[in-house]
Amino acid sequence: MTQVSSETVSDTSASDGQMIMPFYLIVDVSSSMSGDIGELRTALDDMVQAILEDPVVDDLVMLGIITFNHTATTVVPLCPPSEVNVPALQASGGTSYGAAFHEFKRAFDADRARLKGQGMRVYRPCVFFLTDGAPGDRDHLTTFRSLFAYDPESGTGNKAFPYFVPFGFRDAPEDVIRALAYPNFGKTKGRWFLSRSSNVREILRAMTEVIGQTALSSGQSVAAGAPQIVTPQPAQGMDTQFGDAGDWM
Amino acid sequence: MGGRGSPAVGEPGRAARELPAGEPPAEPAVPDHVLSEHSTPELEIRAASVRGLLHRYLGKPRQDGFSVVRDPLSGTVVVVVCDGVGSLPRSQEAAAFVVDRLPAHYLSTRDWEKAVGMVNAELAAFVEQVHAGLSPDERTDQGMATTVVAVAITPGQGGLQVDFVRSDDSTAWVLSGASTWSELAGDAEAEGALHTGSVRALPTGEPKLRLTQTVLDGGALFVMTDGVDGPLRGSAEVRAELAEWWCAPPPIFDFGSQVGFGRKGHLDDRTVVGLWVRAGEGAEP
Repeated sequence: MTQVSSETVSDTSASDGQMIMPFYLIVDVSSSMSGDIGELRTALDDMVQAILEDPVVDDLVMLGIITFNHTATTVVPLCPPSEVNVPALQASGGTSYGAAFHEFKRAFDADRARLKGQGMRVYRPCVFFLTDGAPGDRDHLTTFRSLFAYDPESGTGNKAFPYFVPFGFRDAPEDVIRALAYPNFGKTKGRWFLSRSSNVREILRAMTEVIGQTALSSGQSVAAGAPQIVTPQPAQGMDTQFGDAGDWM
Repeated sequence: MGGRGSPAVGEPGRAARELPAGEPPAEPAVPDHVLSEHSTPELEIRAASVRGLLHRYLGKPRQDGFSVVRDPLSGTVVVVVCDGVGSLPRSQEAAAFVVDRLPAHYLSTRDWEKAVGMVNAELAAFVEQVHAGLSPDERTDQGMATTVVAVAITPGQGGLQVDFVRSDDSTAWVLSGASTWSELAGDAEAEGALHTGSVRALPTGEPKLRLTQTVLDGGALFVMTDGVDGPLRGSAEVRAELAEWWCAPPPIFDFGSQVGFGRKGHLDDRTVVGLWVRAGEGAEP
């Protein structure tokens, strides 16, 4: 009774009918990150290990990682945490937020179609956007709105909009970071984080701790009968500003 | 195996394989699992309610409930299955309240809409009594609600008449002799929508009910919470496995274990009441 027939399940890491809470990390690897790229990878590895310690969350969430500079690439396709292998990262190039937004949209649309095709129930994606600099593309907010915005009153826009959590540090402008928190409506609003600490190692560890805790709490919210993104909370001792999405849209 | 002696359907997942049973509660609470079995001239009945992996993991009680009663005069069998809303801590009490009272209301009215309306009003009054004098935060801590699905099966000249009602995400499925599953009064998820997990539960101002009637002329009827409905609805593999297990009434302890089958990502409480038509019963005369 434990056998899985090949014609019904082709991927033993996933079962049709399973619920999936997708988490995507979009990580800035532009040239300004060159001194921190090793720390970034270590922090991501530690975050995955922390999630793996909880078998319930490992069963419920999937993680994907997208890196961006002037272009964007999916370096870890959406998969269970136990299958995440953070690759070596390299920093170079400029900073195009729009390229990252487009790559996430492409990746999630494809992941969602694939998972739903396997009969899975896909919950709203949660996106953590880590950047240390200002966007080189001035129209990034227009791009963001065109790809993700949804009007709950009229029902127009992207109904599958992501829960978007921007983390800015070093030279990331506050107004830019604040404007990316989404949604700005509903019970669980998007939340932004901003740190001016000079200790990038600590910032990255604190950020990945927030991401890991959000994945854990959200995965465990299944027990409440309605799985949902649990609003990210700042890590203990984290020297950071944070707030909820405003009414910019 | 799916963990702790239950079978798996497909990949059981780490939670089923690795989680322990959990510590006993600090105070007496609802049992982790409940089994019942019954026979009538027309039906063979198996019922099981199993505490979900996540409730074990978080030290929370099982919030599903069921009842099975038979009216000796008419021979009507009434089955009620409730799924307590997990976001409210005392929802197991709402589920127990409804499975306890709804059968008598149905048998006195023979009308599910009226019967659910009556139990909804009683539950609302009970919740109000519990909440009297509490602050809004305290009320949340003492909150309770439940979804409900119920059937009444009455033998008659035309076969076994089934009257069905459900408030939300608990459902009933018919398994035909040809191992085909079909849902009673189902509604499809909107194309392109993300899953929300939202429910319309009792008590509520105006219950939104789905009602239907049918004749059971063989096979079996399963009344269940979404802990089993979810994987059954979403997976051909689960439908095939459960059809094989439940093509005939299994021994009750096997049935309980099967209701608790392991499958990755399915961690909710599980409750199923199965009603098998006895050979020679149910067919049109």
